[in-house]
Amino acid sequence: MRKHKIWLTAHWTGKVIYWVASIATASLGAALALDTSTISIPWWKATIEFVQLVAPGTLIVLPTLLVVTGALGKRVGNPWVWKTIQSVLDTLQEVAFSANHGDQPIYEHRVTLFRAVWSRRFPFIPWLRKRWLIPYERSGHINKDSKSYFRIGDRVEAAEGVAGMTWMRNTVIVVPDVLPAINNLSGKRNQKIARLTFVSEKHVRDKQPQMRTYCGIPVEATGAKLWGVLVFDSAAKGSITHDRATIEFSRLANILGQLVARA
Amino acid sequence: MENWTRLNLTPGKLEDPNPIEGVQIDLYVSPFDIPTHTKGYLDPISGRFVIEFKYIGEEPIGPVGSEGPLHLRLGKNSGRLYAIEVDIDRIGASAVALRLLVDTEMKNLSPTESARENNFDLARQAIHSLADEGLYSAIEPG
Repeated sequence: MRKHKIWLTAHWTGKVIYWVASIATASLGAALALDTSTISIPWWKATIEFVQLVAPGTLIVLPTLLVVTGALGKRVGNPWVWKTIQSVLDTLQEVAFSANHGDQPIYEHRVTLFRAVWSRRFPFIPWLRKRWLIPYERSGHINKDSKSYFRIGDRVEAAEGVAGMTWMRNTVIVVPDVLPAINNLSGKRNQKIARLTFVSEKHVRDKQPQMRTYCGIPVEATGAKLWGVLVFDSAAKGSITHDRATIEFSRLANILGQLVARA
Repeated sequence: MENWTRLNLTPGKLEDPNPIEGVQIDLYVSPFDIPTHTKGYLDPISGRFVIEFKYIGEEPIGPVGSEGPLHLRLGKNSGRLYAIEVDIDRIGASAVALRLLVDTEMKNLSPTESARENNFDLARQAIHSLADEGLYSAIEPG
């Protein structure tokens, strides 16, 4: 999941460097145009002469810094976008599960936005074929430390998880009834959980998934470009239906598409 | 029919091409593939009757391609069906003839990508559901 503090620091650091480099570039240009023989203040003259001396090298470094911070800034994205995506997911959590809270607290009904990336370690590299779905943001204020990632790729058979299968088939997938995993036991129960949720038995043994209902919806960014997957999951059996999830999703899909295009 | 008409298409479950024994999962069309609005009008510049579809989100439309007497406009990124154009001169300016042609040709229409089959099916449903609701009202009844 995106660590907001780190990305926020990266965002503002990049912005500061960008502005400092912009001002420095403009100042250097002005200093180069000055005739130091007309400057009467000794310290000011010495400063301008020094700047004129180092200008050639600096004028290579500064524009490069501008380009790099500008490009990185685009990849890091805008904090306003992340916060708005969080609001959208919180709204979906509230409305999609509202009829079926039952006795479960709201945090046992989750909406998770997965992003398709080439590399789990370097998710900001955009150009290569997508191979993984990583959690980008989740509804609510807890359960944010998810490290669940799912493989996608060329073949449907290699896709992992409800999220991966939703991506590969580009359809809505609903798994209405999954038993919760039992600690450290293999056997038929965990085999069935693995088959229903498109993961390995090892994944079930290690992660012990407790969610009983899943609904995956493909997410497109502006321009009809498949960007990722939204997964509704819940610890309550049957608590999310296709109709409920897609009706509520459709109301916000356009906004979400514009946000993820800037994410 | 100059203005967009809202559609309320409710596609049912899809057939699972790879069913797993003893495992129940339900597949449905992506919301992005379901047309939300449609309209039919006579384009005064090209002289063609046009049926257009709207979806969640927007994308650039590719160049017009032809499938028999129908000219198709598909989404550049998704391949979705955004518009069907028919040369009125070929069939005469009659809503009855136009409707018959569109119904017949739409049955045989297949997308170049099989992944868009659901989208084309829904477009057929939309045309069929609005045929009696003024979709062809821009043309003389005939």
